[in-house]
Amino acid sequence: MKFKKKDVISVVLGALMILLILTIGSVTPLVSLLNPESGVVQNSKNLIYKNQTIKIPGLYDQVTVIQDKNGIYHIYASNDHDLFLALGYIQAKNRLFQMEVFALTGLGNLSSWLGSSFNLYDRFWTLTGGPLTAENDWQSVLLNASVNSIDAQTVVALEAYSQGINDYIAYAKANNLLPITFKLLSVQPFNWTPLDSFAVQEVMASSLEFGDDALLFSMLYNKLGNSVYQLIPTFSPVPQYYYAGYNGELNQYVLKVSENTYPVNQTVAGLAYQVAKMWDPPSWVVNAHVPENSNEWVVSGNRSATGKPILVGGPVLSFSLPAIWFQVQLVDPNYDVYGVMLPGAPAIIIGFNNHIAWTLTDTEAISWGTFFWMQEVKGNNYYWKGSWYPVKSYHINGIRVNWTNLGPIMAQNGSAALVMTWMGNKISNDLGVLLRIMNISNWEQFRTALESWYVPYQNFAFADNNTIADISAGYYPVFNSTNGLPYNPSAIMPGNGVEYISGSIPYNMIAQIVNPASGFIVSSNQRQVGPSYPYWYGNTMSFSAGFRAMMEFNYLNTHDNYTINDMEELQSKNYTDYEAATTVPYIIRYLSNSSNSTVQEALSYLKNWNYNMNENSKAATIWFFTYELLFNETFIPYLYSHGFLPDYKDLFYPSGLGGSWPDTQGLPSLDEDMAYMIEKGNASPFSNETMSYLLQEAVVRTMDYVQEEYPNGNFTWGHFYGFYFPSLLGISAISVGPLSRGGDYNTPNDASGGGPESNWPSGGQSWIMVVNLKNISDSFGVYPGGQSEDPASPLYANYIDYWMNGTYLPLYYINSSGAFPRSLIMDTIIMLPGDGS
Amino acid sequence: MRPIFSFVLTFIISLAANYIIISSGYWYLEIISGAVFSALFCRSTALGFISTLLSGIFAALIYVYPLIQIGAMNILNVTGKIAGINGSILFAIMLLISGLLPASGALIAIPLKIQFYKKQK
Repeated sequence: MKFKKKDVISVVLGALMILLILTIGSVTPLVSLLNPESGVVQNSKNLIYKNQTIKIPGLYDQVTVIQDKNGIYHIYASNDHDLFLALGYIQAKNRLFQMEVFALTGLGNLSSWLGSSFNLYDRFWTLTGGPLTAENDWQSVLLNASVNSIDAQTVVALEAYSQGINDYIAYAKANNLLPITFKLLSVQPFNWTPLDSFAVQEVMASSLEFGDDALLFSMLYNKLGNSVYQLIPTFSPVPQYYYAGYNGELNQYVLKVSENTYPVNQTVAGLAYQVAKMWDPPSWVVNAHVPENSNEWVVSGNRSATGKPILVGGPVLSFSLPAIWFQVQLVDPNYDVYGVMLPGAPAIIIGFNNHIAWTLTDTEAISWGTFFWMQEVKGNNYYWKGSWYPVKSYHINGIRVNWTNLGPIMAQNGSAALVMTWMGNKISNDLGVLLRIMNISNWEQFRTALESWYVPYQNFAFADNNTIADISAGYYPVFNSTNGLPYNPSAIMPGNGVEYISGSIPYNMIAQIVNPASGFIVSSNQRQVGPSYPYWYGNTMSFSAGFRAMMEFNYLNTHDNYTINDMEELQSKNYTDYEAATTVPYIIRYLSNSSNSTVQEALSYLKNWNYNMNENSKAATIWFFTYELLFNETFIPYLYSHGFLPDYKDLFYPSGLGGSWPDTQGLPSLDEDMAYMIEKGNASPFSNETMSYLLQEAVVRTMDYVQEEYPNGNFTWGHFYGFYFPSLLGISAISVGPLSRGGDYNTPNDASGGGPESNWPSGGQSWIMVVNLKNISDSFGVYPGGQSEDPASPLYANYIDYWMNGTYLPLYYINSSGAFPRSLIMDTIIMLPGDGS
Repeated sequence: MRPIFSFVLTFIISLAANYIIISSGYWYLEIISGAVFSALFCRSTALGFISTLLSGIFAALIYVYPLIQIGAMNILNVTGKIAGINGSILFAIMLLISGLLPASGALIAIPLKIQFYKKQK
């Protein structure tokens, strides 16, 4: 048999084509992505919003799910099991990839999906104890469910919720509807369990109450000695608003503890550096870089135009698309609650029901609930109070994690081990507390439920028809020492047993207030208690600098008859920088005699400024850059001269306004110091130069810079400031922004960022909500994002424009599906018990 | 059989087969469909190649048409954005793959069939 040449060519060409397609299909996801039956085009079926009836395994009864015209889901069930099962199904339908990424983050197993570049982060997170604690939390809930009603409630909710998620996974797999991110990454979803929800809870706890400030403090103390107390004072040198009072005489014991820092040697400082370097997670990890900028306030009926309380919530978190929040109303015989929840954790975190409303901000107290000890460890034993005890080892994610009595060993050099006590590792069921809060009806029940809340430390603002309150719930440890005076817990402590945690601040002594005479409460991450508070409560390092809280306090204190609209305007459109308002008059005074024409030009702007960081303000730009440059001139040479910089430059290089300069870090203490120095007129002990000289230098450099950048003189603030909304995995093609908007680090709408190189914030008020207790159905809110994680969906980023404009959407709170007006319905899903078809 | 008839017959039968194959999700089976039906009805490699190529393209087009109507192009545009490719080009690649799979089967099968018959004679 002899082949003709053209036949040979044909066969070879055909074989090559097959080989080429097979090769492309095996080394890239292209062929599977484009497969018409199982590839991405199938996901278009998820873009249709229409009425449908579906059968779902595990349901006991019919559930009606209404998606309102804004995309918000309202779930109506006849029992708790069905309610949470339907919630799991609906959440998975909209956020499955995000939920599973959160769970993998919490389990220390991100690299299984995203590759070996996440090995280091997985290792760090596994070391901290997060995955172990998630498991312990869930086991504890299971164990206590028969005797503890909160735990019993949690088991019902989490098991049904998990089944709902898995029902959707089965449906999506069978119908090739897995989110396109799964298809792009060529990964398959794993079946959800309640443990995954606890893993999500651990991630959130770490995002909100977990910090390495104590390591930084020890490194600073190592270089600066006692001067560190001037850099990082225990109490702010500028006036603060403490919502829970204690404004009296400074408690000397607390001050002595704060200024009794355990000296560490170079070996320990090296370990601290090593651990602090591990600390930064990938930027897109859930709220990886949470700024201390959240807002909450509640006003009483006698100060509001409605005659009833108004509650305002604005938690600041890192932005992502899909957003961190999922908005929903849950209705059954036990619940009728509306609000936002985390994908993966089936409890409304901020919201309201028929009787009460609540919102949260971080307390940022007590060194973020994270403490470090220098403990001696030899072989498999650690030293404690004169004896040696065996280290407990766990093998998690292929990593050996060693624990002493104080917590996980984070780093070790010889027998010197740096051990961490993180309150997030205390076994607790905070998720269950949130489930409990969802269906209670008054302040006493609310306060009682929060007694079981451990971490993250949160200020829970509360309102019902007649009560306004706030309580900073959490497990706040009390430190003691066999030597009398304990060492400063905001730094590394000796872990030999001399210093120890002797208990926690009693519940009736934690910061709280009910119906204050002022008629309002503001709790926007500022320190909650004043200098006479009898317990050690942390230093200025972690709390917000307090300028935002002061602005909000001043507004509420000087106005009356607040309307819902007033509250929205204050939360979203008030760009008053309180720090500028208090310091710019001094700046003008110091520079008014300058003969420098550039300085006089800058002053001409500042003199006519209303301290609003508006997009079109040039004075705002001058203030920002002048402040930043003044900050640099003051602190950077000081830190260099004391040897902190450049040794730790890659770890901590500060800039003003919460680290608003590119590639720098913020420290509230330094902003408070700066404001104080401007007011008193000199920069000692950090600089020998006069304030006038430093300011003149800063102003001239500012004007040179802005005129160089904008020779036409159009250096308005909007060119330097706005927001960026990155996609979950940081893919720029499906991110949104940057978008110009007014504000800065000290205004309510905001997080730190701004300035040159498009260093625009990718964090801010992640949910803005104003609840009207006069008529709860007349409440408003929006978050910057959308309900769907599908970037092709019209509900992916549809709320961003509203958020950017400060426009709130009505929160349709409708108690039964039958009462839902047709004009407000986008689509209705009837869920029936069945086989998943 | 006249070439035009064999072309049309191959096209129609392959189209139906490819549609069913696409619906099953086993896209690569189009290679076999192209090989079998071109070998059965075509004597010319060129005609077999073109008819199976078109049958694969049209089968995919018919299959995804309802999805295009409900927003499949949005999905392709987003996927394309992530991959750095225009969504329309992705769509074209999808159709091309769907055509080339059976066409490559035809390129192999028809010469082999011709050789087989030669040997029989």
